[in-house]
Amino acid sequence: MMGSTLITLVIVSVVLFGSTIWCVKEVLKNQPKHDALNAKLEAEEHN
Amino acid sequence: MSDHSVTKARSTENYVGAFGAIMSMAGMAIGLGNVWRFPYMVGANGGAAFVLAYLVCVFLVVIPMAIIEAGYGKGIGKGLMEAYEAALHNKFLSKIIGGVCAFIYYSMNFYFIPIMATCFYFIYVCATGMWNQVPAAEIYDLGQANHALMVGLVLINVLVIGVIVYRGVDNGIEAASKVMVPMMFVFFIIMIIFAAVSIQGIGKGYDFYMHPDFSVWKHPSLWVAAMGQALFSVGVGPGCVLIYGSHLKKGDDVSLSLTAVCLLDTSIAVIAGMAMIPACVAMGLETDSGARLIFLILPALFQQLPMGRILGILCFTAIWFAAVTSAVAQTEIPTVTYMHGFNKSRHSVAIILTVVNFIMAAIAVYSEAFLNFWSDFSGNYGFIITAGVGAIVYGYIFGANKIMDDFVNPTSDVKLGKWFSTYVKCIVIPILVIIMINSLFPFLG
Repeated sequence: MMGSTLITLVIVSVVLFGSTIWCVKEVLKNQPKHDALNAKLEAEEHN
Repeated sequence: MSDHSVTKARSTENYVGAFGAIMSMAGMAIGLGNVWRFPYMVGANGGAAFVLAYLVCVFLVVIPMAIIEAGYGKGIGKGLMEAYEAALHNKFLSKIIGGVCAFIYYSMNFYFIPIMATCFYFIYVCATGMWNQVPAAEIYDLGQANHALMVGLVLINVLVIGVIVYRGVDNGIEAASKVMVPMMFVFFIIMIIFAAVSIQGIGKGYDFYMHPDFSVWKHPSLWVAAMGQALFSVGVGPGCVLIYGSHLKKGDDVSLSLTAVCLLDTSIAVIAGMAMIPACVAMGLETDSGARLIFLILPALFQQLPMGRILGILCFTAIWFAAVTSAVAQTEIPTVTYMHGFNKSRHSVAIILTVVNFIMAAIAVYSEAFLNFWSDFSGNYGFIITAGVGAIVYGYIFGANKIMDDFVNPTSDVKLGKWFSTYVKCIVIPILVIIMINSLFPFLG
């Protein structure tokens, strides 16, 4: 395999898969905050 | 948050968790185009240079449009008829446009389900190692000629789709997507690892697939191809992102979630390509676009590989998962639209659509002309027209700024400034419309 292909494979893997994993992780990390917000909005709607 | 009238009396069907929401929306976006068209385009258009150009298109156009569409869906919380009514303020016109858009999206199932049935047939082919009795190149024709078998497989697929949609958002779509989408990644990654360690000369295949040829960046046709593929792959515009966005709860995040969805869609496409294209090249098999790669070339590949039967089962199961989640989306859009628009229950609409799915797909098994008609009508013209109409209605008539201010920014983890809606209206939607027009009447080369 050519060196340039290997370097590109690493770059694509880091940029694409890294940003995908980071995004999913951030969304999951923030879920409790959104659960609380949803509970508050629901309570407001019922009142 | 705004108490805009359209947010009142929202649907009560919501995702249970953020992971399920992302997997459901990713399942909707990931389809056969990711698995067979994208890898071919990468190999034929400069390898990694195409992937990077594609990523630029995803970040600059697809993600912003997906955020607007899903945000609008979250705000409306109902079907396409209500979405158009909120923008057009005309109940009759909205029912017609929303109803037609939902039908066009749904009608993709009429040619899509026979392809799913063929995929199912190839899982059986791999399980039995049919290539030991029949030449690999003839297996596809053998299956297509057996109409009774294909109709039986169509029925199984229609029932799988029907049950998932019938069970609703949390017990059906979310539950299925939480299994199918991660399994697609796992199956393709197993194939990549196996190919990397067991196929001699796999480096030659990686060179074909990923060798960067940045000279292609100066060709406008590459950017048009990358943009077209990115827009079609995620499917922004016609209303599928809107409907899947409508299942988000009022306080849920939109911006980061939709970015994750678009990146997952791209990731699976790159991974599927890595799993299949280098192996085909290394084994001296001609890679090609469309059904040829999947149904004619892959069986020949698995025939030559050690443990080919197991790898074949994994590969065709992953492809089938991609197809199922897309077909579910193609049934979910009309289900939500018609159940809200005509005040019917999900169960009754899902049953009717499942019966129609079976009748139309069974006819398509027997008539290639019928299959090609729906492929052209919905897959080519219908999708493009409804995507253009949708983008204009959400972005300009209802207003991208209103969507951002009322439905996206108040609850999103990443707040996007005023510049974002201006950017969507001045850059993103014009690009989307130009690419869609170019797909109908090519003028960009």
